[in-house]
Amino acid sequence: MRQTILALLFLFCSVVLNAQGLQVKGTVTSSADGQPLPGVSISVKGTTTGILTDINGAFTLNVPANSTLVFSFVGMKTQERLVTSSTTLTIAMESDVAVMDEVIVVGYGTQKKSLVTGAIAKVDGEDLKKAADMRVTQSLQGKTAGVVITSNSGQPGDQISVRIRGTGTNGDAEPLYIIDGLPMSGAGTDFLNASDIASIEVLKDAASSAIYGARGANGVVLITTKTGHTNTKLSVTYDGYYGVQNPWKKIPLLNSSEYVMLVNEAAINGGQPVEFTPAEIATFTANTDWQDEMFNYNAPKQNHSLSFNGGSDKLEYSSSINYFSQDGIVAKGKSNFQKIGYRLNAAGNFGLLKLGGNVNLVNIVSRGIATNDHFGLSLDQALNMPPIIPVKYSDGTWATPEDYVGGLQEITNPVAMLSYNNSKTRTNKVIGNVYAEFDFSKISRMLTGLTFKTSFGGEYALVNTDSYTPMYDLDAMHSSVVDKAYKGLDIYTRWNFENVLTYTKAFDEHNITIMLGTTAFRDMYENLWGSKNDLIFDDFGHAYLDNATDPESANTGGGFSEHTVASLFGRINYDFRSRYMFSATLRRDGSSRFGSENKYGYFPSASAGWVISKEDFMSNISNIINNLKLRASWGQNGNENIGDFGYTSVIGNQNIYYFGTGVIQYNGTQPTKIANPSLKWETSEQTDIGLELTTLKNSVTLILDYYIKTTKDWLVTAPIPMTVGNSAPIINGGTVRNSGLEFEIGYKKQFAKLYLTASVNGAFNKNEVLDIQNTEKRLLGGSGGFGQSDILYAEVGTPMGAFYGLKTLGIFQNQAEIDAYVNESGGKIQPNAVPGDIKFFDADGNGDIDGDADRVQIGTPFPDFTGGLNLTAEMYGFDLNMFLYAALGQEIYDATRRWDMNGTNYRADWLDRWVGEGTSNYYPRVTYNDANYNMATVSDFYVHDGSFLRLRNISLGYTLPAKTSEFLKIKKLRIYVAAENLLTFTKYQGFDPEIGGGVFNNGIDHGIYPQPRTIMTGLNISF
Amino acid sequence: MKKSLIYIVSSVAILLAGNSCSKDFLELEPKTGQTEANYYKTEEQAFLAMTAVYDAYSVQNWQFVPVMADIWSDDAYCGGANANDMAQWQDMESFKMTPENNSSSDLWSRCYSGIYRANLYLQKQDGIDWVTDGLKTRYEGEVKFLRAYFYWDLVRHYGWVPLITSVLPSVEDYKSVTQSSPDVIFTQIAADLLDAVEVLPEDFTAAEAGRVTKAAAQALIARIYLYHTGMSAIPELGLTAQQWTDGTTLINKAYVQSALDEIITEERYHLIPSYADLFSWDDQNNAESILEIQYSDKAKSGDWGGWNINGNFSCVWLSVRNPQGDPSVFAGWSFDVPSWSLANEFEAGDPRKDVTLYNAEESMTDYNRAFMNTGYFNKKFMARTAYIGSGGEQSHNFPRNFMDIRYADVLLMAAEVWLTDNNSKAAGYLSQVRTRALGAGAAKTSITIDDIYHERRVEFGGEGSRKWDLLRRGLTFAETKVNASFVLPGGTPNAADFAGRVFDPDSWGMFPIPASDIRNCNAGVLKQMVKAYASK
Repeated sequence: MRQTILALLFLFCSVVLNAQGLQVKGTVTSSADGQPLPGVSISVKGTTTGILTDINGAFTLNVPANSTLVFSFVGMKTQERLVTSSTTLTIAMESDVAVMDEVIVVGYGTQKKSLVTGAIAKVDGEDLKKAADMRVTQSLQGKTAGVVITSNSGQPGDQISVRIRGTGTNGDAEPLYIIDGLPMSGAGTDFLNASDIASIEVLKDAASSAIYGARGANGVVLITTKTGHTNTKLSVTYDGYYGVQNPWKKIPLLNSSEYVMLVNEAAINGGQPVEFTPAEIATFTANTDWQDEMFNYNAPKQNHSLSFNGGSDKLEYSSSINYFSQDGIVAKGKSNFQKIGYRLNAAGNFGLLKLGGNVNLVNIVSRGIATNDHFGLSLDQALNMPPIIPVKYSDGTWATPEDYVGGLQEITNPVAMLSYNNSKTRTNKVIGNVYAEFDFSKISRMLTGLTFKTSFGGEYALVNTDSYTPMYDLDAMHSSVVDKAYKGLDIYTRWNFENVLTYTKAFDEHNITIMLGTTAFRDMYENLWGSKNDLIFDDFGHAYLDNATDPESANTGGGFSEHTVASLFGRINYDFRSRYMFSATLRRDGSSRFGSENKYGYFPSASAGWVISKEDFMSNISNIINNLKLRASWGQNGNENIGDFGYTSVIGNQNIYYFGTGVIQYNGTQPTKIANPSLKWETSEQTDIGLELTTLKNSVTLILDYYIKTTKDWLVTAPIPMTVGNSAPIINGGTVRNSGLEFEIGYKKQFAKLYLTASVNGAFNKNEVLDIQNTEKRLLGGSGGFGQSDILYAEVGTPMGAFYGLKTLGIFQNQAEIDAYVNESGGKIQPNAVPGDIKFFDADGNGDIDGDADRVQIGTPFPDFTGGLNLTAEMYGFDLNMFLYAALGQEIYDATRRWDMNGTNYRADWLDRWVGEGTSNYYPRVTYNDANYNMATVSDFYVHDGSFLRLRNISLGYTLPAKTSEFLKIKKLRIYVAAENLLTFTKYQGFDPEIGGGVFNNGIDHGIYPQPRTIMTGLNISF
Repeated sequence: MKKSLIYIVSSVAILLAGNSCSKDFLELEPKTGQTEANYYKTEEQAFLAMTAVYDAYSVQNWQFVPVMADIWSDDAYCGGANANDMAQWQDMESFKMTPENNSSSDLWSRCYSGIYRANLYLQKQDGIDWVTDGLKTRYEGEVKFLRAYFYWDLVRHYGWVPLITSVLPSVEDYKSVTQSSPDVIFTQIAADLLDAVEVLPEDFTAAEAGRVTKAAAQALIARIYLYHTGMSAIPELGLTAQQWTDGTTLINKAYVQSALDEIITEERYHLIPSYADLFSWDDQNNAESILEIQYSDKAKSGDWGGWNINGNFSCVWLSVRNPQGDPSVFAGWSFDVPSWSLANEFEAGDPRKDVTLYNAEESMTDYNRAFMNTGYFNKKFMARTAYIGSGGEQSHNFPRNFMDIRYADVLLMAAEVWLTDNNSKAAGYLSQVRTRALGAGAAKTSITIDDIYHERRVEFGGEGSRKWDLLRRGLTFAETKVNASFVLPGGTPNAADFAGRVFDPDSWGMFPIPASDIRNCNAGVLKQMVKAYASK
């Protein structure tokens, strides 16, 4: 609180600068367009005196005679002018296309980009703003090579899956996020507002991430939020947009008459009477488009943020208020997200001490439905609901399938189910940190280069979940004889205490930086929930436990868990003439998640770089090769994402039984799993070789990286024999290798008034399992359609989680083909088949189609190639931004249709089903009695090409000319129109080819909640 | 200046060092739940550890033996929504089970989970601070009874199974435990049950209802003896005819005759006067109940995975789909539908028919005539609207106990073991059961084995005993009866649902060893021994 007050005081502080001697006046413009440049820093060389240009690019400065003025501005070439007398200067700044000395954030510090020896990709905050996406992590998609970002669904606020250089574990493969020093999970980034972000750095190779030791194996994403700058005037910026979202695709399904035809055909093919008699058919009047009923067209999405930045000579501050809201394109009113955030970042210099901190207050309200699930209330219901059923009968009551067709079980009227769905999650978070930085050079010149920073960051999040189940009776499977209120409260607390000592020293042409540090990290989770029936009100607004009256029904629970990590780490950076660089790190981590045998782990790394272009032998071609750097790195990282107490066995108490005529419940106890006290970290080892090239007058940059990342000692719950009688222990059970090539090509060029930038990045990754430490040498997981389990597998030589099923060989066109498909002893391989059934490949050649033994790899959910293309063109104040993302070579398992029930609707392409010899060699006959298991079998029938190319974002903006904005007394004003997901090119027939998920739950389509197509208009204005 | 410099530098050094891994910071103990090392100390903990063994006895997770047994037998058909619904049971119904069958692996898993909990208990019991006299021996008897029950479920479903009687030091050790032959498993069952008979109490208090007693152990011995005797006709099983033993005590006809007579003469149990009252939801653990699986809604279960369901989930499996016109019936899924063959077994006027079979055609205005519909439903256990639990998932919490062994079974087993040695005594026992339902006039003075089989079938319809009765009279008998049940009444509209089902005598009524365990054990350790699956 005190901090807030302090910071508010900062807001009202003004900038005061002292000057004396000669008076120099002038204006600074951009050489590109002649427009004045506000905010250019002008300093007197060798002093601390300085000033910034005002909104008109003008400045007035008093300096001693014979001073050298240094003009610098981000993205522009720095200029110097000697001043001998009072004068008026006009400075035209040239843009510096290859900003070589850009500073990038590395673990526990910053480094000049030119000296970096690891594979670190930087995404500038400005680039994120252009994407206008809500989720910061999502906006990274396609921005940098080797980072594969897949949305798990298009529901507002939903998680996305992020894989840096492939999937390196069978467990949690998400990277570690560090937000202003505080370690977070991907979900923890939801409080961030894109316009508050200064930069995001992705640490891809082990040498860069090894400084995060036990938690860096899946890569590290460093997010730095904006800070103010000293000696800057207050600037106020508003960024906002409003847009409408729509589904970009509707799946063609059968209409009522087609549906009736196919279902009756299936019944007859199954040897049963028709499902619908002509008399019944005559009564069907509906032709319901259930997708239309489930979609929420023109769903609004809007974002407004107001930020303040500035600083005096001692203080700097940055603050913002943000409001974001998005309605889902499915399930109107039941799927949406709203966020209000406040952020303050402030720091002050007091002698040798710099004190600072930031605080974020966030309130999030979200509602959601199942997003990729063939059970529950999801979009998949719309794909399976018969079109003959109306939404409501003429008397206003809900129509249900059971009045039309038997056995649709979980499939029911989704619109009715939506009306019974009442739940809401409210999250309140406080996230912040405070730090103190000591610059010892201010004590003694002997100590120049020595700094110490201590910081403490933390998060406190309160998640309130409320839900209300009304009393209802829709059909046999969907009813509730009671009404019920539920309330859940989750409390997340985490803190991180960090101390870092840095020493930088230059002697002659040798530069050395040594960093030593410690951290302690703790996170805790507590929860409490309760539910109770028989409410005295029957609406969600009154669904509080105190309104529930049935004491028998009261049900509560709550628990606690915690996790600690303590670490020591150090790094040494050395360079000679900025030409030869070397860096090494070592970290020791201790984690509460491991037993005493393996509490601590050591993670080393080393890297080196050589700026070839600085060598003498390159000097004569220095105007062709502007920069050429070769770098190589090696390092080790760990992964401790196994949940708490994985090494030991806790006594569980859910083995419930009852005794006595009074029925007393006893919570029987047993260890929850078999213990493995020797459990240790998963270790990921990575070697990276990279090449950076800048050529053609700094207009083209090229970055190439080749890497091999091997993850050993996976933390895996490998299958064990059931004869053990308890759950498998977590073991260090396997090895997987990811290897790949990444490239980034950037092009920046100014053609007269046209300023063009283009960048292409792409990555090829190969994922291969090298070892699995269980008897079966195989891991299985993932559910397909109903009853189809273990559709993903991993074994030596395969990717981590590839589709696993039978190969199909087309359709049996006639009995002769079935009779001819025989094994060695002359027996029919598919004795139950009839013409029109699928012919399966007998992979093991044993003359029988027998499940497991005939399964082969039938596809993989991992793309071979992912890449992005960013294009920007600016001219006469207009700017056009375009961003395309491509993921190629992956497959999708289409589990959207409930084959297990007779009478679910079909996609329209089923009209091409087999109906006689020669009619189809892909779609089998439809039948109620599938003795050949056409549909039950996990096979490549369900596997489809999932490659796609998506125009993620396109925007056209216009910035007011300086003169106009000057007249309006504003610094900058830009208006734009933009579209997200305007175009998607894919062969995949489902709602969306973008289907993320966990490692063994990836690329499986259960009727995914698709990404919306959004058309929006926005405004950026700053004063 | 210098002083402050030293001061600052040393504070920094202290900060760096001080926070570098204090041991306490990293040594966390779970706050919810105890660790294994601190547990198994008190009598209460012993009781709760034993309770976990009982829990494994009650777990239904899609493999409830009485339901699967009825589906297999001529008493019921698989049913469900359609031919794809619960493929693992459809394959059971069609005698086409494969090693990938989910119910087979769920049953296997449930049995070995129970055995693990029992073995763990027996290993930990010596570390308990026992203060109450006789408590240790009683708990030990209960645990051994349950372990025997799990091995009985294993031996009758798989024949050859790994015999594990202690918690092995490492997971790896289990991967090389080969299957023991059925006679070895029966020997282990005998050892545990004979130990249990010695120490289990004859009587128990109302608060102990549901705990196993001496009579339960004796009755289970009799049940297993009868099954064992019948199965010994299959030479591949290698069982000694007419007897089994733990190595010292011979369990033969004489042993069983006296054990059953002891239960009868003790008069601790008796027949409930009205057969209909026997299945009252409001009078469970009644005077006729000798062994009863306890289910309740109190735990408010809601786990679709199945392991943590503590109500009688099977009530919903059995009930009518989309029932209309009888609000007392809670909607279910129409599995395990009683056969016409069972319906026809009842003598005219036998009141047991209406207690056993719910006739939806007569009692409902409409309902979903689902797969293999016969119009009949299992009335003893079908879900009832009046008993929906107060919390959790509605379908998981039916407080309907399952009567596993009841006194009528003791009487009919006694009739069977006395049949040739003392026919009038046997007839007397049978008549007690018979006259309760049909009145004094129905008593018989001389009976045949077929009389006993008829009586058992109509007395225990829907209670999961028929499969084992069929099997113990030999595979030919079972084959005839099961195939006969697929001969449908004329004009059955859904005859196609029943097509192609033929008894497979090579299956011996058993299940395949789960494929996943064959893969997860060392190569060649587990083998399919049952003839029907040996080639798979």
